[in-house]
Amino acid sequence: MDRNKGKKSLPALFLLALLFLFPVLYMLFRSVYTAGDGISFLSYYEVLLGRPEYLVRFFRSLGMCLLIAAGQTLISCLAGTAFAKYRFIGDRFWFAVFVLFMILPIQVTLLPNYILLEMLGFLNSWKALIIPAVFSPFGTVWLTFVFRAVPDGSLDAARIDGANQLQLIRYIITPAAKPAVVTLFVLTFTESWNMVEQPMIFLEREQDYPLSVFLAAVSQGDIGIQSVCGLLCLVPVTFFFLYYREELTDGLKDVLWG
Amino acid sequence: MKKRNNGFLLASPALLGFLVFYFAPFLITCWYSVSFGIGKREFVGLVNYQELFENEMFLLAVKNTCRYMLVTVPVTLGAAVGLSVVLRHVARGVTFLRLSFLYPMIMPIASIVLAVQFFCGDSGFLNRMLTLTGMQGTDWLHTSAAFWILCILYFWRFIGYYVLIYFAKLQMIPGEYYEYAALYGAGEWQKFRFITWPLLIPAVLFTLVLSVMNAFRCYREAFLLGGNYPDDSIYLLQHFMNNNIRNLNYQKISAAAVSILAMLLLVSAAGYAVYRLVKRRRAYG
Repeated sequence: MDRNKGKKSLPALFLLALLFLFPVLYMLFRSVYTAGDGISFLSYYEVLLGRPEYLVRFFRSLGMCLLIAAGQTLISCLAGTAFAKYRFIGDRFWFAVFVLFMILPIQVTLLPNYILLEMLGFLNSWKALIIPAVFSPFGTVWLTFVFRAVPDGSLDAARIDGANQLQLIRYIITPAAKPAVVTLFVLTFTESWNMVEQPMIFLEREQDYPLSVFLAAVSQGDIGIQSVCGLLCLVPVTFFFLYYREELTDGLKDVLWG
Repeated sequence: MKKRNNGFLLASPALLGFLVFYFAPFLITCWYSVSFGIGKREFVGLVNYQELFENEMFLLAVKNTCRYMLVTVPVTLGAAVGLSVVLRHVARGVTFLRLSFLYPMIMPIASIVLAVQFFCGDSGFLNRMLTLTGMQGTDWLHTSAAFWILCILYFWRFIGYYVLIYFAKLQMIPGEYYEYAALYGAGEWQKFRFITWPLLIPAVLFTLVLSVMNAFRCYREAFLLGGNYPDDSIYLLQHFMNNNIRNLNYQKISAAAVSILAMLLLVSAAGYAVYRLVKRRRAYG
């Protein structure tokens, strides 16, 4: 490869990278600086220590999203194995339906969901946000593609050694596809962390709204507090992103070769 | 070794949840879309659909959604191909670059929207700059510029993902191909046209599906930027659906939901046909 050329194009690309990080940098700047008062850390104090409402909401949202991500990952591992490694009645048909519903915009399934949650009496509680999200078809489709690439030989070998169904999944399939499983967890977490439509339709009381929706309405005037909340919102996903960066870069492209 | 019942058992939690929370309710939607009445519903045929396609807001929403996809999807994918080809020539810092390109994808939309509002809003940075240079600023988010802001957001959010996919694919192309081509006097463009591009096509088709899927998700940005009744230029199908769910106008949204599904089926069938065609041509060519 042409080394000189590489060095030449570097600065331009790093400038581009800066552009991609711009909102974060800009928010960091706005959280400590206001035009009139200069630099102050008052908004950090206000959000983190001054009033409990922000942090309470933050931890409740965090718990909810972790629950969704864990549930979805677990169920998708089971179903992904089933679709990738077993034949059963109607498997192709169901898989095709799963794919179709995965592509559909959320609004199409929102009304059916609403009708059903109403019948079950789940509306206006966080059950309405958690349970449908756990059963979203996305994870199953994603993991089926990846699990297909796990060689059958290693499964057969483990079976001969007396491993049962769940052990196969726990010790053979999941470790072999670890990047994809981790990626699914992180993507589901981000997806539910971003939830906007469901809370607005399924929940009536505004004090129940999770952080994502609440943020849009937070004390409209105060830019400092808004920025700190925006940054607070970034904390969990950024943690996952950096902690699992290698699994993510592997996992996101994995699905292509499955 | 593949036993029938085991697979079914493993899939049953997902199948059951899917049936209860997605599929069965969707069948109810289909029924609602062809019926009318409070309490006892009666079959009315395609009247709901007819009304839907005469609804101006629905047509506007369809138009905007199509326009949005036609602008964002090709531009983003094209730029991603370009960027990943350039990235191949970078010697150091590729990991850092890839990560920072990817970061927007997992960034919470609420945070992004905040930054956009600070930047483009009424008293935002952009307007202050314009005032300094003596021009009149406007509330950009409530003019037709909102459409372009939304497009830029999509571009910025998802390009890193597509670059990641293309870059992985590019790295699988043996360097010898390019050396041979150079030996026979091929220029950069010819190398791209006859080596890189043909090998990249399957990945491009794959990302095409992904990007349409992601484009349907843009409602969140549009909603957080403009609210329930945004500027006409970003009134999307999703706004139409959401506003009608609030009014509990079941037959209208049911008809719309089924129509969207039908349109999507048509598009994916066309896409699949193209995919088969490309594959066959490559097999024989």
